[in-house]
Amino acid sequence: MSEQTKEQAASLPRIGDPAPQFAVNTTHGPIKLEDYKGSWLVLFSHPADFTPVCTTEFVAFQEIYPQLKELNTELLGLSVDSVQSHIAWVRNIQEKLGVKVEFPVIADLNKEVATKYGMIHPGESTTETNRAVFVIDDNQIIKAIIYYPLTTGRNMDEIVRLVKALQTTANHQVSTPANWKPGEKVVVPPPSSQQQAEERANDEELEVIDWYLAKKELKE
Amino acid sequence: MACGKEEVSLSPSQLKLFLDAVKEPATEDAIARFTGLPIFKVRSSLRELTEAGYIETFHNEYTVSNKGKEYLVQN
Repeated sequence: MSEQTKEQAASLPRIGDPAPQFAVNTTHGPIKLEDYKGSWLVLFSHPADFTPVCTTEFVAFQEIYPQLKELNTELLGLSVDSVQSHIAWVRNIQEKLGVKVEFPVIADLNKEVATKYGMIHPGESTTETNRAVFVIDDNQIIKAIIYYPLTTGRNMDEIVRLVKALQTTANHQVSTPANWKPGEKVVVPPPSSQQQAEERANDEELEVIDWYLAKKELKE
Repeated sequence: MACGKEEVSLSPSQLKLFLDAVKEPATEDAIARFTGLPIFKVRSSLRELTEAGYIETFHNEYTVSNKGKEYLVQN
């Protein structure tokens, strides 16, 4: 890895970091990241307008947008294309596929946001953003990051599941096990003392598999 | 931009909706309820309309300016 690449990697935002602020032009006019305070945000990038996998993804993102809105979560797309290109593309999607894209799309022509968020991976492409997803919470902290390569469309069910899991953790101070879905048991934090471990074994509200792995039903 | 630019990005119907929402001083939340728009859209639009002079802001409330009133009369 070159020194320059190491430096870039070191400066990329990570989970738990404040989301880098931006002021951008979008298909919905000028937007700042701070406009989303109080809402969760799924910020995602795609390689380019008028490309096949991205078109299937935009249709799929629009399909999950109502579910995300019910979770107080907004969607915001991004590529290095112009606003006019984005407008032409979303109009084409509506004309050819009958789907109206309702979320804004950033025109990141100077790659400012893409660079701040590490959405361009030079090993794959120096000119296009890859399929990055940043889940940002209502306090503008990055809670999850997903990267997919140019060739692989994202799984929308997983994005919705991820947002639900992150919000469950935020609201109930619990973790979620593999393949967790809402309604299923959650994982309680492991004991931090021997006394906690002993008492946990007798806690009737918990399903204790062993002292370090215990699950419980969530009470709404 | 070489080919010019609209003064604001809002459509005429969106502009009228926002100006109607602030005929009386209103907060962001009240404007969101009136317009039915998500809060990010309300905040970004209010900023744009304030910068363009259609809306004035005072103590976290927004109200239509003389320029905005003129627009409403003409449209």
